[in-house]
Amino acid sequence: MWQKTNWHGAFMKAFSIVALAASLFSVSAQAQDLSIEHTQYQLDNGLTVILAEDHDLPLVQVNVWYHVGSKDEPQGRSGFAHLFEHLMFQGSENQPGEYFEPLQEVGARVNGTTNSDRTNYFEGLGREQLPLALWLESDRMGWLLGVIDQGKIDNQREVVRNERRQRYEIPPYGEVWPDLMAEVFPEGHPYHHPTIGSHEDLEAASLEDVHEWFGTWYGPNNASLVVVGDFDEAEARELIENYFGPIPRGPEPEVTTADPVVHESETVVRRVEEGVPYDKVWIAWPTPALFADGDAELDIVSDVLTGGRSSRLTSALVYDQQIAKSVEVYQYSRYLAGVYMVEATAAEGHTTDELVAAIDEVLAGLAESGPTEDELAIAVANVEAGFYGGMNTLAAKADRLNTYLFTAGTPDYLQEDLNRYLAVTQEGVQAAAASLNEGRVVFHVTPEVTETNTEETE
Amino acid sequence: MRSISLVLLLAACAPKSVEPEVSVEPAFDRTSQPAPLERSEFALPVAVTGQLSNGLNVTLVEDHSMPMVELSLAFQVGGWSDPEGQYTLANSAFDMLTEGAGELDAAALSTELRRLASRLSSGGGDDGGSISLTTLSRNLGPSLDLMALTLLDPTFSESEWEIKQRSALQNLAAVRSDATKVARRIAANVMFGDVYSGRLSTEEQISSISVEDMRSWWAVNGVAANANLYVSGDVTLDELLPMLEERFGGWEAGEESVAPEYTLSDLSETQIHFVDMPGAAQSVFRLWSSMPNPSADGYESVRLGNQAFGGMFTARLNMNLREDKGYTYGANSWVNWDHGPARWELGTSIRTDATVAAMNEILAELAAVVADERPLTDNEIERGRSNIIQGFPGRFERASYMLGQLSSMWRYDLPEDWVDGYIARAESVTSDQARDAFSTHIASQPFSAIIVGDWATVGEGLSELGLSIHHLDVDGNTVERAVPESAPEEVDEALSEE
Repeated sequence: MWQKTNWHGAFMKAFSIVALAASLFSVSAQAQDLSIEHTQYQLDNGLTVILAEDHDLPLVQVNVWYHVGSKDEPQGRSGFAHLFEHLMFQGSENQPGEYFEPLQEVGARVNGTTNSDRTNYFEGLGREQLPLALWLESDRMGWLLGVIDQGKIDNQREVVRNERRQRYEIPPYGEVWPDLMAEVFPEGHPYHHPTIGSHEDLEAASLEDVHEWFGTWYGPNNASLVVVGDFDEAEARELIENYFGPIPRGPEPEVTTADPVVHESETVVRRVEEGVPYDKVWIAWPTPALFADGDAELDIVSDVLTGGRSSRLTSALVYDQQIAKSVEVYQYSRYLAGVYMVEATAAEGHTTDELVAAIDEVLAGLAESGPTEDELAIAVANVEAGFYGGMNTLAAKADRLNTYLFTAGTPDYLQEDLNRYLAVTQEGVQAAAASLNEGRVVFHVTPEVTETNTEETE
Repeated sequence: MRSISLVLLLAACAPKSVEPEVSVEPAFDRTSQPAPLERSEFALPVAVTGQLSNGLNVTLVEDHSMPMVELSLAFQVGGWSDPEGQYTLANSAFDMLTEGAGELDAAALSTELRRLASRLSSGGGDDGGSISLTTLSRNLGPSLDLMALTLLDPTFSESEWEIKQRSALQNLAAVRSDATKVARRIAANVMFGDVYSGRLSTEEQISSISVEDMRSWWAVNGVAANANLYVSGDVTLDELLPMLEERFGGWEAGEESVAPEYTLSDLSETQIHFVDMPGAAQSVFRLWSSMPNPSADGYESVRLGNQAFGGMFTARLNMNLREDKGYTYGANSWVNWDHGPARWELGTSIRTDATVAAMNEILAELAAVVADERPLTDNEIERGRSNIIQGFPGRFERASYMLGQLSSMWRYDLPEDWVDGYIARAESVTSDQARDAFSTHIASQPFSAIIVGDWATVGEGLSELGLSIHHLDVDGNTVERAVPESAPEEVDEALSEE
């Protein structure tokens, strides 16, 4: 699933054969129940391009993915993929100033995000500003390094460290997630460290690292460009060739891989923490990667457990036994592996140990006899409705096309993605529930009782 | 003009190695910002309206791109109507509407909705509440049946409320331990005092609310005269109205509840309200001051001036505190209004050791705008204006945005052309007006700064700014706090008194 080359072996060389390419690769809306009509091709330098016209409003969305994330960071450079993303907004050789400036001037919605697997950059603008977006995206893909200096690195390093404080250090329980992931994924696993990185590693980032990262990962052959919205295909193709065509192909980066993670036994972490309001527990299992076998079944397990007021875990813990304030179950599926998570907050006067025992009982019941026919049908129907709801902006469509391209190897995966859920059986859900065994991490957090907060709660 | 000078400047710098090798049109030049393509006309989404026999107004924006319908029954009565000592009664009542209705208990109601793959939720705030439904268009009828049931025959079950009440009490503890939430809560309290959104919920108040109180509140306030129905999605008005009349037409019209007008606390001088959170990695800032209301002269001018000062990523405030100094992940300012008068607000989270420096920068930026030392430039204001105008169409990707604007117009009695006249209003303000208005109404006025942070680290420096500092606990109660001791050579006895 992670090959960098030959995903699109049959693709046209772009530009000169527009009409033919369109007829071969556009996906007919009538052919399938659920699809995003689009055209896909590749430039000579390896840049994959996906175009999806949508003329409802005079808007376009440009979305670029680079196939690199925090999983690809070397030892001692945690947080670098994200720091680099910040530097991508600091100017390029032909637009040496802030990238936000020309974009905000035309009312664009602009941002970039980094996760463990990929880095993306996107802007939504009026249709007339498509050349501006393509110019900027191509300029930082091809002409970035000339303007990045130590001062910009020092400044954005501080910004990112503030982001770390704001997202992880100020909110109660903020540092549980990275610490929990570090327990689930052992030392050396690409997901062991968090995308935000550590202060220490961020401080160590250098200009040399910037050059190396850009040279290794930011070639057009390691990226894909999606344009969705109100544009003319021929015009867009010409602009894309002009702007991105001259960028030289980069090296083929070595694909980061990981062996499946198996926990032979249970790991229990108990933490007493200042400044948190409740007793909370997280139970985490390593699970299959996104779209791998078993991934859809586990999503259905989540719905059966906490999909509504009468779902199994919610009704048992929150309403019948009243030992939990809330309980949530979800799967965080990524490219190399997933994590299955139960997150429960104790009701006043109850302990996280009580919660774990009650959760285990419910899980055992589902593993023992599987979901009812009714539970499965309801879960699938709600997942299906979620597919419609998640597609109502150009930004969502564009990012979905890139998600499918990178993960499934084709942007044309929407119907198949839904079909995975439609094909789930009661037996499959039962087996998935049974896989949530003792090979897991249980992470308890208890508030530290100080004199001050004792007074407050009395 | 700008792009021409860039070409001249940069043409020589373009690296040779990256000259296009493929044949491209000779006119193509990557060294300058490209000209826009032809603009096409943007038309606002069309909202159509109808009325049920009980007077309930229905507004629909059709959108047939997905087989879904979204409805929001919006109420213009909310927390402002809470009786003395029972703050959050209205919120609690809204919350409980969907926890059992008619013959269905909460669990059965949830199951029926999930069978239809529909989501029904309810909730409230200080200015209103809503019951919202998202459903597949093919399941609209049976989903509306359930929505109508929650509206016409809510149970207000005692046992469900016990669980929610306990949860609400726990939520209070969560609010107190999150610096960002504390700052927001205290800012409202400092602004309004102990009325409206300035009231702080307490254990006592939450505990005093009973299901009987909710029933009484709902009997008076849960009436059609207080509501409007907003719908978007895959349905036409001709299909919709008969379905609604059948289910909602018999709902009591009742009498409209009218919100009082609230005023802001008077500010005679700029002041700091400090809440101590020992060990905090950042100081959370919330600033506010008064400004003209949306219907008053000067509102649009202040709004445009603010866009240039702190309303965008590239505005002065963020460019200074984030992109130049690296004190924060982001800083911005905005205009805000509700049933209370309009105010200008600023928010940011500053790394602890830069707290005093950041406060100084904010003061200096405001002073510079006033003193004509660095007035907002035409260029900054035009960029702000362009951002507002050109960004307008992008807000309408979701029909819910248009409906949100329409419901605000109704809730707050905004002018009829609030949406239609949006661009014209932004165009009508001159640069001079924006510059002067921001200077007169905002930058030269006193403001309140709520800062939640680590007093032991920042206290001494803040005390040296010469601003009055009021110390509060996380519940807004006044407390005494001494200026922390620091390295002896830095102690200034004269300034360490409040």
